[in-house]
Amino acid sequence: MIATFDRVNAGEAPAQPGKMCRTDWSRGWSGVAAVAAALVAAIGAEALAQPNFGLQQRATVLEHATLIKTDGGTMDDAMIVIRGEVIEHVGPAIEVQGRATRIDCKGGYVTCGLIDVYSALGMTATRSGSPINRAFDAFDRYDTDSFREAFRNGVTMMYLPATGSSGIVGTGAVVRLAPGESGGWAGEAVKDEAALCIDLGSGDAALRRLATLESLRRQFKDARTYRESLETYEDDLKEYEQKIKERAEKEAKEGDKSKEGEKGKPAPAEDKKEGGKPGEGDKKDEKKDEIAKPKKPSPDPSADVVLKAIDREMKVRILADRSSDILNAIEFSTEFNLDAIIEGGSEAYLVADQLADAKIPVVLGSMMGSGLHRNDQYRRQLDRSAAVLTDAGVKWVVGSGVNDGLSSRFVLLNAQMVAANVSDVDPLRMVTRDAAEFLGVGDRFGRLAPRRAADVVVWSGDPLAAGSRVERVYVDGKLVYRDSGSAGGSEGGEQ
Amino acid sequence: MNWMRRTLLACCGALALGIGTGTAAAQNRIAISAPWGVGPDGSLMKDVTVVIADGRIERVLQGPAEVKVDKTYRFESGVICPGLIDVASTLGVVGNNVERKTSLEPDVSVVDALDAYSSVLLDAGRAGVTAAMIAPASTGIVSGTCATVRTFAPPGVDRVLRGDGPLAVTLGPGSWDDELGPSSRAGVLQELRSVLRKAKSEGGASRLARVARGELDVLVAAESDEDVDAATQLFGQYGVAPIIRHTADLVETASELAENGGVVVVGPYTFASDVRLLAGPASLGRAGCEVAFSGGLPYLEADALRLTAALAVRYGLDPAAARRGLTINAAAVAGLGNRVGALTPGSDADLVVFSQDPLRLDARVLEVWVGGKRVHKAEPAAASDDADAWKAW
Repeated sequence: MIATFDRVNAGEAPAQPGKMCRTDWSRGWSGVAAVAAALVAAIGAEALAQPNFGLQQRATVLEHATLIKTDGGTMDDAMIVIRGEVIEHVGPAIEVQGRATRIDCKGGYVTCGLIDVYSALGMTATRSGSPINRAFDAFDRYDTDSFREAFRNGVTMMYLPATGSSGIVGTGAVVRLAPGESGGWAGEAVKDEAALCIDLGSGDAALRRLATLESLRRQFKDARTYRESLETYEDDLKEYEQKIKERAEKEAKEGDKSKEGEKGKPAPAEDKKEGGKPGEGDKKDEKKDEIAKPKKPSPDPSADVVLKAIDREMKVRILADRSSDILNAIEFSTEFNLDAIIEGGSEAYLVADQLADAKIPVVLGSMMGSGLHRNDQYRRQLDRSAAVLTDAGVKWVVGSGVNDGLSSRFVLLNAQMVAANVSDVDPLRMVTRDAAEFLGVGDRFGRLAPRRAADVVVWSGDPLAAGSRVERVYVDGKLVYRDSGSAGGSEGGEQ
Repeated sequence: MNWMRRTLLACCGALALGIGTGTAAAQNRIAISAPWGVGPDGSLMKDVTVVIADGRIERVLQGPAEVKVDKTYRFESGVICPGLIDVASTLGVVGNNVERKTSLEPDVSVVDALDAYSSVLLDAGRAGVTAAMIAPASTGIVSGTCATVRTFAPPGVDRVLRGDGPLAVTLGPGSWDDELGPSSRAGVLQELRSVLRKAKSEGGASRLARVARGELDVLVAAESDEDVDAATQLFGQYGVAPIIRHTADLVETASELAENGGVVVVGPYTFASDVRLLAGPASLGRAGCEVAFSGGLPYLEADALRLTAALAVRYGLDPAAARRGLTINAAAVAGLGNRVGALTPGSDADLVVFSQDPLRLDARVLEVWVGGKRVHKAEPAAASDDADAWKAW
């Protein structure tokens, strides 16, 4: 009984090595009620705080950990208290109220969960793109092998673009690997329809890319035309109703005059189809026919999505690697006044000034893949491109890129590769705080702070040092990964 | 300012005119000191000073040391590391390292295919890869000898460190060919056995005869554990412990290879590599095997060598073992263990100063020294005039 309770509250399910825990959380909750009375007696009154069933949830206390401060310094012997789904305390050791599971993190570091701003984790590419395609619908919530790899590398949240075709591909989502209630699966859309995804097909032949751009323009223009036709319809409808009303009033007046009271009812505004009695109202029917009811344009869900982008209610992420495509993207987003972001951007550094002028940020993907021999859209990829972008005043962030379904696992290593060539950037911060803020979820994620979501990673040493391992991962306050501890030596903090 | 053009000019200058920025006259003694250095065992040593004379490492001092030298290059931060060596590389020989007339081409020397003016050599050099053991393509059973070449070769320093070995042998499907030779595993082994027996009985200086006498080392590319077993047994009869180049995970044969005592070549790994593959080096390490890394240069970028090692560490390989895999073990595979790959007295002074532990991917190359001469000095990160540099291109 108590064991069940422990699992529920502290998330300390004895995770099998290298496996996601498959605790049945919902079943566990039923045990709470049963043991509540006993616990009230056992714990005492001070443990009874207000949230959750009137009983304070068991806390998870990570003790003697090293924290990395925002200025890059560290704080030793710190304590992190997780209660329920949120972080309750971060800082020096305190007295923890109520029952708690204590975990000694001596020698280890604690960070928030890493966030990948550009991922394909658990994703299957769509073959044909459409604005109504949603990346989250293509996300495999049972792809636990991929999740385990992400956790093994401290990654708990990612932005997933819709991928797979050129042109408008669909909408992207911010997904957090929170365990499902019944166990065995994970994935919560923190933000669905996070961005409209456009692929300019940098890998396609030149003329094909122009055709893609052309069809893109047409789709956006069609969306505008659709809106205009809707607006015209609204106007016409108003006009129509006005006319009907006027005619009815006129008829009523005429009716009054001719004293044929029963025929003087105002004509029903809703429809023209029903004529009066045959023969009698021939003339009037003709008149009715003159006032045609405007036809409502048929609904266009694709255009509705595109209009959100046009109205800047949704960001537009444009996948473009070649400089020519990036210039096209800048022109396109200026033309439609879009809140645009360049994704990929292998050659973004070549057009950094133009990007800076247009205030368009860049999401960099994998720094690997250009090779020393290559002749495609990655051939001019530059290891120092982030430095050039920085100098030009272009805002950039770094993700893992959409190489494969496992991509997210190496987002920190990729950020480190970027950081090697830019002074004064902190790779860890890039994939936590900066990433969360870029994705618009910085109020809940990306930092270890009280009241923020309990997505927490315990490392065996400095996360940036060679040989440091991820020992534990909590998402939504629940333990989702625990290292078997058999791996090789750690040299965390050596440097 | 154009850093890249400048660097190229500097390198060309160094190559053509012998004006390396830090060139020390032959009789001069210089010292390079940094807060950290990579020891021969792959661990990080504190406060390291390397004394260089005549292009060779004369002494390596640990701790605060005052040495009497003509000039000291002191780094306030950074790690002195032996120059990295990419094994089973195709740097400078891409598309030119295949000879396929028969399934047995022991007399091919891949060094003959080297394009010493290829820019990829300099690209690799600037990333801290000072040497590459280039290998003939893994087609045919015996495809020729590997060679180890320097990426930077300033005047007075040899380009080719070794031109005649090890001999490259391929087992498994890569060596099967319906037209030119055996088309099955059994056929390949039979052929290899018979040519080695014949070479031994005939004697002489042919490469196969030298292998049969245990005089020439062998690099065997094998993808499956059974081929690894077969190679070990077959060459074992001639007293040769083959170096295994393995592209799969090697979990099953790890302990047997450890008994054999050789170094296993693994990699390249990328961000897209399979989990089982990435865990291979760690399982080899646990079994007591040494590994050396192949970075897949130049099909992958120069940093892919360090990335390969970093990924192996991420999946459990001991960091010190990984550093050995980039340096001393790679030199051993190339048969150059006494000459390069370690900060030890007598070795050639081919070394790299990294800003941090070379296994950290945020580490940058600060300087590269080859044969006691400075051949590359990095620009500071994100110099503010760099944006203009790109406009000029």
